[in-house]
Amino acid sequence: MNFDVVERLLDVPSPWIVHDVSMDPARRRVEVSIGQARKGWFGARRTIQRHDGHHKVWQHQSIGDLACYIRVDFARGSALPDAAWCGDAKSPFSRSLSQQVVSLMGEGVSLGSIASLLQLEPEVLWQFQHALDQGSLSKISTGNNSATNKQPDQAETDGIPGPSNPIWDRLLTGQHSIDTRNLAFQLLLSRLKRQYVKSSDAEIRRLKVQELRRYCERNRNSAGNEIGQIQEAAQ
Amino acid sequence: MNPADIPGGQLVSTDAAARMILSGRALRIAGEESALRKLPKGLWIGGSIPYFMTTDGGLCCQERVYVAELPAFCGVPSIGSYDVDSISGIACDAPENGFSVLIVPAFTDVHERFARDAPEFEQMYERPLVGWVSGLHLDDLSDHKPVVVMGPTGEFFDDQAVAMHVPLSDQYMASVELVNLFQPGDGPVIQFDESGFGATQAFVDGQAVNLVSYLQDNQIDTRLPLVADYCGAAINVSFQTVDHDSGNVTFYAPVFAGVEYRLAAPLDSYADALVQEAEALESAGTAFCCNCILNYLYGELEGRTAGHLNGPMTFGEIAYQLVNQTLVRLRVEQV
Repeated sequence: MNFDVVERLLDVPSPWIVHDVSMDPARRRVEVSIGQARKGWFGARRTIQRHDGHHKVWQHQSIGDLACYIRVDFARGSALPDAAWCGDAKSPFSRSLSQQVVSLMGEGVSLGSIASLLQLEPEVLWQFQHALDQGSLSKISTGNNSATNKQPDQAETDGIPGPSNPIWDRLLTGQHSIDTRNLAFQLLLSRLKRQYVKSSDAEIRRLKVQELRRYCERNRNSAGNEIGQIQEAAQ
Repeated sequence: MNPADIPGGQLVSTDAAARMILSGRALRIAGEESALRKLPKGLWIGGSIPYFMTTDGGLCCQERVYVAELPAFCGVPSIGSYDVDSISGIACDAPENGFSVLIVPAFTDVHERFARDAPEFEQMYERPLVGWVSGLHLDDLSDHKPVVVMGPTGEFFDDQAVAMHVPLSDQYMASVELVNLFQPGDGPVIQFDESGFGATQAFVDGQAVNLVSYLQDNQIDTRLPLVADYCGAAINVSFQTVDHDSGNVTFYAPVFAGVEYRLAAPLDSYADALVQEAEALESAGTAFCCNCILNYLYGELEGRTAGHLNGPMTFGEIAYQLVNQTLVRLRVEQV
């Protein structure tokens, strides 16, 4: 196995190295093992620091029809690299896969379709969404690929302000309030506000904005009063 | 048909209910399990409960069943059952325009999962969802299980929920309303660090306290619920037990971590407040209604009339998510 190529494909920076790639055709999975190179072991390039076996495994984007898992050995309590192949300690997915899932969620794609499209276990996907909603995932974006670095999306949809309009941030941080007696809107906004302020991750915050926008788009009749107030405040 | 003319539900004999089922009408039925077992298969869903609010007042009845018919302007409903895993997709099965009625058996895994996770279910809040938690006669709690019924197959479940998804034409729109006697009182903020049906520790104005001791020391009337403000909607969580031996407090719905609760402001008279609130309600357009068994008990509604809204008195009410000590109704109006 040419580990250098795998390192380049995954963008694994020194001192991290790929030291093993194993395939399990029966389970349709491949596992890439990454660790920190052990110093002073000349001629044994692929030897890593074992850290008493402390490691974490994240599901990464599939390779063909093989589910891909990344195992990373690291010292207990040490910081993990801000890399796409790594994930949050409480996430089942690597950052790269997390961002892809969150992006599809933001587009309104159903969990069932996401699971099918990305070859994910539905139960694991539900747990990921639950962790997102509970605010227990501290960071899913990498420094190089956060929502803040993307082109701003100012597009309105039939009068509903675009996702990057500041009104959504003001609504979800409680700086602007809406006069509403619409129970669905009250319950949804209340939940999204709790989740929004709990997370500092731009991708997760963007997802919450998209959820509120989508509710407005799909409920123009019942949420007409609330949409009107949002439009007015967005001017 | 004008939504203002929606027929209300009624308490009828099992023979009369059977005739309504056999006529092909789409029905929701509540009653004791033994009465429900006398009914034929058909286009209906049901749940066990012997407590009702009727035009003759609140009553406990184990022979008759409460039957509510879908308004004629509704489309043909679909009916399905949900287990502890599939319940997360309940909102995705709802029609684009319409509403869903869910009945969940109390004290089950599917009840707990719905109570705990419903706010996070996919597409929750996008389409109206109402319903109730089936229960038992309070004397039967130790030796019977609440059930729900899937009318088309005649199956009784004590571990699954059933739902009726009702489509409406574009001329109509459904909305969910709560009638809640309670408002947050002016006492301290109470919070929990974990979501769940029970707690030993709470944070009162930020200070960690043993909840049992706090309730006891402050002589809290636990007939009054905890109330949280959800962007203007008051949502109750009722106390179930306060166990001095184990130091544990249990609730009829879960408390959620991160939500600020306050004890409800006291009422001069629970019964009078309940009757007054119910009598002020217009019944026009009501396509579904249920109320809480605790309102029945604490409000001393047995034999007493309270307004025009009838329905089962349940072990939990569903207005998108599980709520307590609340009247839930679904209204249909013309757009």
